[in-house]
Amino acid sequence: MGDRKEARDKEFQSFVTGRWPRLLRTAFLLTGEQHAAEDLVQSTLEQVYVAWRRVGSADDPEAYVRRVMINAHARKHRRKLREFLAPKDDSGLVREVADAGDRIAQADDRGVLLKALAQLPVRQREAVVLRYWEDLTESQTAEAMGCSVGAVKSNAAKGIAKLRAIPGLADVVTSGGGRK
Amino acid sequence: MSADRETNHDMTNTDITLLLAEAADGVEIGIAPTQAVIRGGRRRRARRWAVATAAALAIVGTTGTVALAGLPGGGDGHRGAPVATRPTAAAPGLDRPQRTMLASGTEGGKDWEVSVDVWAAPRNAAEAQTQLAVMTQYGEFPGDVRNASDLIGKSAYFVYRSYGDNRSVVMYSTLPEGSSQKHTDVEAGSTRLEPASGGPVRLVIGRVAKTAQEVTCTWKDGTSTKLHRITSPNSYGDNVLPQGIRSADGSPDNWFVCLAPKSTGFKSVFVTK
Repeated sequence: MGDRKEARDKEFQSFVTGRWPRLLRTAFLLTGEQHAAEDLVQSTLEQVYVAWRRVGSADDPEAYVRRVMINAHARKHRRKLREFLAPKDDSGLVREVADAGDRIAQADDRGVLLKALAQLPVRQREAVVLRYWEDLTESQTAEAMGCSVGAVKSNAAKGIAKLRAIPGLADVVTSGGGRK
Repeated sequence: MSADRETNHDMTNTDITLLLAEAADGVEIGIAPTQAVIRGGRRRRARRWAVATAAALAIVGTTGTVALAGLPGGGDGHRGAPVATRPTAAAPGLDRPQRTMLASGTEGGKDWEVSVDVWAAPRNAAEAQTQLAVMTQYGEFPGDVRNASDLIGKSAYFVYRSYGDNRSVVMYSTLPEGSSQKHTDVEAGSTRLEPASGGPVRLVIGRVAKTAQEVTCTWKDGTSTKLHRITSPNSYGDNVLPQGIRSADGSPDNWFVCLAPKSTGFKSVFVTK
């Protein structure tokens, strides 16, 4: 019995180690801040640990983890806890046209996008992040968000439209957002 | 500009995908705090029942005052029905809810929708324990359940109302397995469409017998809305799922959602055919 528990803990540990970077990046896009992202992922994984015996043997543990994380994120919003979002100063909006590979320009782009994401209502932000960063299908996104496919379509479309309407981000997209 | 946006939709979304990837790279990854996570998880496991009870009270507070006050049914006075023999395979709805959208629309620039999660009745203590743990993860916890074993032989449903970013449970109940609405039975709750508004109570959600052909919602201004059975598959036109009487996966009853015109509120509801 003890051996089985130990084996499960080891399995969970390797799951955490393997998924931590991806989950942290998703949480960063949702929260816009390093510590808030770490808190979100850690509390998500703690909940996953509680149900690990079942989750670990499920077909798609990732889907469960996403669902818990989105619920936790939404819950945090509902309680109106202060969320630390993108940097508050506006200086990042005024940029020189930068050379490819310029790390300062990259940081500016990040700031612009994080700020733009932060301005979206939470459900639109979740839909955009899950669809365009996590690359989930509409039905997977609906499952993670606990809503209909129609609501996902609507939230993602509105979120994208709002992102495009933000001048700083439109500039970045126009000048080639995929800078390496 | 807008035409470009339209025609280059996929391409510009790809750009946004790349921007998201670039932004996501801005986070410092560091070493995964596995031990801290496990310690936290063990603490949570130890506290699970206390947390679950607190969650239940919160839901009771919401639904009791908003949606279920004065409603008939709701499981009171019923004892769990004997567990019927069923195939050994896990029934749908046992370890995750079966979700059905009941209605959706847009008002005041915000999307709204009503959906129901239906859980199948667990057959034994182990299934009940598992189900309750998952329910808690979903933020769903029946208020009349104190122990997991209370769920044995009972199905449960949770009705959600979403308005903009706000999504909350507005009705729930546990029902003895096999029980269902008969003839002109109606169990309904009414609530505001906009959770924080002081406006009239316009949203009516309920369940009726499978045989019900027409439900009539009467509003305070004397007007009424007649709903009919919708048997075609759900389809979304402009993100609107029309109001009507429709089935819900896992539920022995049909469900309806009725929204009053803006200027008035709910008065009564009956099965009229």
